[in-house]
Amino acid sequence: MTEDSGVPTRPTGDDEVDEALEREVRLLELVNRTIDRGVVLHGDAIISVADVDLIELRLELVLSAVDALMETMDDDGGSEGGDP
Amino acid sequence: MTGLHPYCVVQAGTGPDGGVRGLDGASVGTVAAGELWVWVSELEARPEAGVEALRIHDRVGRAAVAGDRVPLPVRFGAWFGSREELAERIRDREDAYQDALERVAGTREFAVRILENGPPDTEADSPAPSGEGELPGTRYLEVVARRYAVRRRREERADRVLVALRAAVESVARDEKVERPKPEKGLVGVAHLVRTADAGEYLDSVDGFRRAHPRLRVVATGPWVPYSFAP
Repeated sequence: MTEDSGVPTRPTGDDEVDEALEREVRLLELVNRTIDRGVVLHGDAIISVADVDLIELRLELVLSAVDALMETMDDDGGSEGGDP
Repeated sequence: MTGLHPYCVVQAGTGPDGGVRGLDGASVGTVAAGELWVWVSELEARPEAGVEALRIHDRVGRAAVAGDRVPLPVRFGAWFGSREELAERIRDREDAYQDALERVAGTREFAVRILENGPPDTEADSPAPSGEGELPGTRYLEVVARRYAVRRRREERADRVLVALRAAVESVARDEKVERPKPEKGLVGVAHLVRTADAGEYLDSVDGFRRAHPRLRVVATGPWVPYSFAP
C-alpha cells in the first residue's frame, strides 16, 4: 500500500502473486485517479497516458498467473469458494 | 511556454514547506483565490502525462495533508498561463470547493478493486458486427443476444459483490464511488471515504471480506487523497 504517515496500511497478501497483483493494481489506481478524477479545472484536461495499455496488459498477465495458481489449488483439493 | 501546473486545492494557510518538489524538480508554491490556495509549480512547458509524472503529481497532493486538513487533488493535465487565470477559475467554484474540503476533512480515500480469476471476458465489449452483409439476420441476432447475456451476467455478479462489500464496510465507510470497469480492469472498483481514525477497522473489514470470498481477488489500495470525492 501507499505510504501516508499515521494512516494504517496493509498488504493484500503475502505470496508473490499477491504482491505482483497488488503492484499492478496500485499503478492502475494511481493512473485512474490522477487523470480521471479529482478537481477538474480545465475541460480539455487529459488526453492519454502512453503507459496505460501496458499497465492493463501486465494486469492481465498477473491474473493469468493467478488463474494457473487457483487451478493448482483446485487439483490439490483447495478451498471452496463462498462467493456472491 | 511558461505556465502553471496545479496539484491541489487547500484551505488558505496550508502552504508547502521548502522540501516539497514538483514536476521536473520544480519548487511548489501557492496561488491565492479567496479563502483557498492552490499548490502549483511554474514550468517551462506543459508536462507530459507519463507514469512518473503522475506519481510526482500524487506525491505533492499527499504532502498537502496537514492533520485533519486534507487537500482536494486536481486532475492531472490542467495548465494555466497566469496566476490570475487560475485564481479566477477557482473563485468561480469556491463554495463547492469549500464544501468538499469540509466533507473530506479528517478522512482518506481507500480503493477496493475486485477481480475474477482467469482471463477477462471481453466478448461483451468487443465491437458488434455491423449486421447486414456480415452475418445472416438470425445469426446476427444470436451474436448480439449472447453478448448482451454475457454483459448482464457480469453486471449481476458485480451487483452481488457490491452488496456483500457494502455490508462488510458499512460501519466505517462514510461514502462510496463505484466504478464498473472494462473487464481487463476487474469486475468492479469501489472508492471509500474513511475517517483516518477508522482506517484500521476499515482494513480489517476488507480483510474479512477477502477471506470470505477466496475465489475473488480483492486488492485494497490507499490511503489516497480524495480524488474520487472532489467536485
